[in-house]
Amino acid sequence: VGEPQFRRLHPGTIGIEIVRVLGRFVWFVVILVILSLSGQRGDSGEFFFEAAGAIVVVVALVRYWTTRYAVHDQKLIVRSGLLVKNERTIPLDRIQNINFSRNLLHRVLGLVDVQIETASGAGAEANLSALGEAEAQRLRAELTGAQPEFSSTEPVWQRQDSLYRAGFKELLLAGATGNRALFILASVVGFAVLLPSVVGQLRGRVVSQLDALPGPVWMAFAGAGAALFFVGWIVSIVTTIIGYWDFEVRLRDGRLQRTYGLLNHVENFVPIRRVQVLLVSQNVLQRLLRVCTARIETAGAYAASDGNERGPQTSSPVLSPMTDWDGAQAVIREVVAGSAPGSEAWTPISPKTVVRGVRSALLWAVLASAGGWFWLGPRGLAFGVGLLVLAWLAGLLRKATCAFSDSSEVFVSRRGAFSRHTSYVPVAKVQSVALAQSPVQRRLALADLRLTTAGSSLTGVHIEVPDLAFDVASGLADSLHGRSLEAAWANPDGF
Amino acid sequence: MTPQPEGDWRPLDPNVRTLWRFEAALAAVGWAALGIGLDFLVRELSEDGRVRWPLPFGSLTGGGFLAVLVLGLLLVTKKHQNWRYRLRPDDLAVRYGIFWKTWRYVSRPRIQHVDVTAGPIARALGLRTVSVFVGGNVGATVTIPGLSEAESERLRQTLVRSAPPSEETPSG
Repeated sequence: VGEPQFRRLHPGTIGIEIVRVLGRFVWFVVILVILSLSGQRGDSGEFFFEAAGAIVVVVALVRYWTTRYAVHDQKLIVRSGLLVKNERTIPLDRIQNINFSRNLLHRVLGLVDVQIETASGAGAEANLSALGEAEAQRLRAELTGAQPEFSSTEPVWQRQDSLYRAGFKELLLAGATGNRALFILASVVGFAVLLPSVVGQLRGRVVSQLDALPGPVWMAFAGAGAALFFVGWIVSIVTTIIGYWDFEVRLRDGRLQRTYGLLNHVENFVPIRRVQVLLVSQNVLQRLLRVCTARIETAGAYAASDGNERGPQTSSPVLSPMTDWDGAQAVIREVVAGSAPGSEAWTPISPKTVVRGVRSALLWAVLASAGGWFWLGPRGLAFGVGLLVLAWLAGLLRKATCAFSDSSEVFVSRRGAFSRHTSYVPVAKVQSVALAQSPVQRRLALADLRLTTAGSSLTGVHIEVPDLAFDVASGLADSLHGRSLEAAWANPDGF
Repeated sequence: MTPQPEGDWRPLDPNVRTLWRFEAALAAVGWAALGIGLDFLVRELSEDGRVRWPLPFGSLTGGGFLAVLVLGLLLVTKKHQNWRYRLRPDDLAVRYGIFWKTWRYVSRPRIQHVDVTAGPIARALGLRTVSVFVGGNVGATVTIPGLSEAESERLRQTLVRSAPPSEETPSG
């Protein structure tokens, strides 16, 4: 087998590293520049600036000089560190996915950041920043060639491999209807509520000037809020279009390749058998427009980010930023073997969910009524009654929308009356099965069914079907557990 | 009374009740400390030293202390009666809960690693906690508190063995 042949990063790493560290401390740098320019601190400011700069350069050099990697004996070995030496060994068959990302500077220098993930921990297990383009491709072939489902040669991607391609219209829709716009709206409203008091306290003059404006002050604020919202909306659309520019998913020989990005170009590879869950989600706007977003979860945590340098984020890798239902169905059918999107036999949850919801809310309703009575007298009882009515309505919606579908290979659950979320779980990927029963559910013979997979959803969402009849839930739990167990023995390493 | 095994479902070591009683007492002391702290704070903050509150704060402290202590002590037996685990050749199941009941099933080939831990009180009582980790986030960990040392060792040995349990195919 011989000794491992260690290789170095690309020398361009030094430049990348300097820019990265400067970027991280951008506010610190700005403050230092302002201090040195303002002349208040004069020499000391300049000194800090130079010292910080020197440290950054030294750190970048050290990182370049000390990082080495080798592929040897079915393992990837990465050495790093000057004082604390670190050697990490990753068996090639444990690699969950490989991520290539390039920001603007990388692209100018012809470099690639390579992130390699296994199923453990948060973040990429190995981060090779940065390699030359050719070296990165070579490394990927070495890493994936060892995996049994891959042929050792890198496939030549062909036109018919394309599974999904986002057009300009889709990206526009994704940006326009994404949650970011709603988030910006919410923050603007919050800001508009806070602003008058802040302004009032800080500058009475401004308020008096505002009073001189025609029309009431709140209209000015509403106008400003609307303008801010509009700007935020446009920003959301533009960032989405730039971020997901030319988004394409290809599938060949059991591996998914996702490429996207205008400035920060990302190329991400996921073996299809590593897909733990496929999530299809729609918010209210998207339901009206009959479009949806599909995401996948794998066991690697870094894949949970959408592959840029900011590290793990709370969203799973996007499979199709925005597509109509036909497009989504095609993607689901290919990625989750054995699924039949669009022709599932849905089983609704128990109709007793309405009663359950109202009874669960009873204690809170009593407390709210007592509190209301204490503050407002008899009128305060309305709080409790209102709460019960809300619980009843929520129960009706739950009854109408929550459902599951279980075929031999795939378990599908659907929830959400307003935003709709559908999860496709290959039964072979189920890690644990649980039933949970609250006191109210016990009296009504109901239970919640919960599944976990190795999907590293940082949002902590597990697949849950609420308020099933207890017999149905326990039968389902037994069956899912049994089937996943069989799959687990067949493939003990399987994630 | 000591709960008996029901079929394959085994109860925890009876000593765990002593551990839980200690824990209940500690929690009650914690509540009392919190209450006394709040009480003190409110008295300091109110101008005339009198607290404008429907009830004197001290009652909350004392009440909280008593409630946590009594509830904790009363429920220990019940909790122990309801806690069961089942180790079969190819899977582990637990069920527990007095009001909120939970059943969880983990397949043995899914197990990533097993932790055996014991705090000072548990050690003095000869108890161990076995935590079983499967792939996925924290919510997927199965923890069995209060096993005797021998039993925890048996569980650990069985669970981390990687070969299939028997010649017969695992049943679905």
